Amino acid sequence: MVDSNIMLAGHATIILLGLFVASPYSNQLYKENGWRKIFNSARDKLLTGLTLVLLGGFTVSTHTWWFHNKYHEMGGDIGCSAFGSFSCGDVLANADYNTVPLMGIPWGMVGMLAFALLGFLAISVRKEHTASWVPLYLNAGYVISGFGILIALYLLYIEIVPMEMTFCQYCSLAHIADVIAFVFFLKLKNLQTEDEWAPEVAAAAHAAKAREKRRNERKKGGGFVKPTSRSGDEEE
Amino acid sequence: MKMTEFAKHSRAANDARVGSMLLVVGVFLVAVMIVFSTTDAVPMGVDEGEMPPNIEGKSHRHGAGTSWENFDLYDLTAANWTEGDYNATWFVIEFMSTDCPVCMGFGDEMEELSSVWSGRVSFIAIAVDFKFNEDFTSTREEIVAFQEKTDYMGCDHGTGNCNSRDGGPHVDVLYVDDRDASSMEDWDVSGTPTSFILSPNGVVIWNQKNNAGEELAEALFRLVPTDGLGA
Repeated sequence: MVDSNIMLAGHATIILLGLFVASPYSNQLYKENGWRKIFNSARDKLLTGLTLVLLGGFTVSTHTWWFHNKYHEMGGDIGCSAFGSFSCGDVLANADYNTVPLMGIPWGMVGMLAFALLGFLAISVRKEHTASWVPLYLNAGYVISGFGILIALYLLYIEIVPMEMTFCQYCSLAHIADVIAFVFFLKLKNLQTEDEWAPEVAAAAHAAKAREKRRNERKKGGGFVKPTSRSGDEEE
Repeated sequence: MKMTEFAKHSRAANDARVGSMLLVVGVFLVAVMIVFSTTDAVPMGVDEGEMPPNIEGKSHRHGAGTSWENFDLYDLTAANWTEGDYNATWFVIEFMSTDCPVCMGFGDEMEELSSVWSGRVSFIAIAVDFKFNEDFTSTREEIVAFQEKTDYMGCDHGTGNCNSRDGGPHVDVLYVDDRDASSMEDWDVSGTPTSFILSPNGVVIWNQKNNAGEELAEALFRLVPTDGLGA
């Protein structure tokens, strides 16, 4: 069986890849043609990076849930023993804290649902970045990932206080993915209000505005206003 | 915007979301299927077929003097045990109190059962105090005196001598200090003595509460294989 910390590195790699894609360092990968043209757009880079981070969060949450089930199957500590203060077995097998209070759902499953929902929002926005629902989806992603940080803080408190400094690195990686997702959604929200979000739409809007301005100026002058076509272009 | 362009735009927008939804749901279902197909989780609990909460604390062996060792129930279980493998250890978990008169009277049966099943069944007494009853408070010295049946005033509601309990010293019974009753609460135990039998992999196979009318001795002979025992 592959060491659990090596498997953890696999999840971390996906998240780090997402961070790299969204960072300025990925600009050098830009090529005019093919899929690498995304590296020329801040929006595409952020959305692709976010999707990768959410994918990493989803896979590590799935693994956490797998550990939860495996533990209850075997009744013994498995994996995560390479680091002294890290013990997923102790955390995920603790019947008092390994599920959502009152609901009894394993935290790993909650993480899967949250990252899947955030993934749906991110992929939808990436596919149709000019749709009317984009601001709503970005706000929803921002709020959901922000709520996730509160849950992460609660779980961190449990690891530090009741469990006396016993940490599960799988859980911690999922928390980190959520924090990164929160920052990315915030950046996307801000970017969405700028021209850089959709340069082609912004250029068309600026052109239309300029035409409107010219027409108004001519009207003010009292001269003949040349009729326009239905599409808004002036007839030659 | 022309109607045809609007329709085209709306359809594209809807398609983006439907496509994203299908993708995410598909990935989610694949992940769920992988988890379910590679695990066979036993539910947590203290009823038959369930994995009970762990018991951690300090334990005392007969004759160990004042030395108490770390105890972790899960460390004793054999995670990969399969049914039919007799070369393993079953467990009797007995929640008891040194101040409980019934436990004083049960001492001889514990001695006898732990002796008969020695090598096949590990007997673990979880010594508890009752939070709501001041008569049920003990010390480690009192627990050791109860275990070894030595002279110590404080058993049986705090007024009896521990050497007056039934039976002889509990040589084959490990005593665990649970005077804060934390494991007692985890295991949903409301009184003493309360017994459980666990299979070698730690799963509950007999809970006294669910088997009214059946004695621990009867349950052991019904559930634990006797093949090769005493050989």
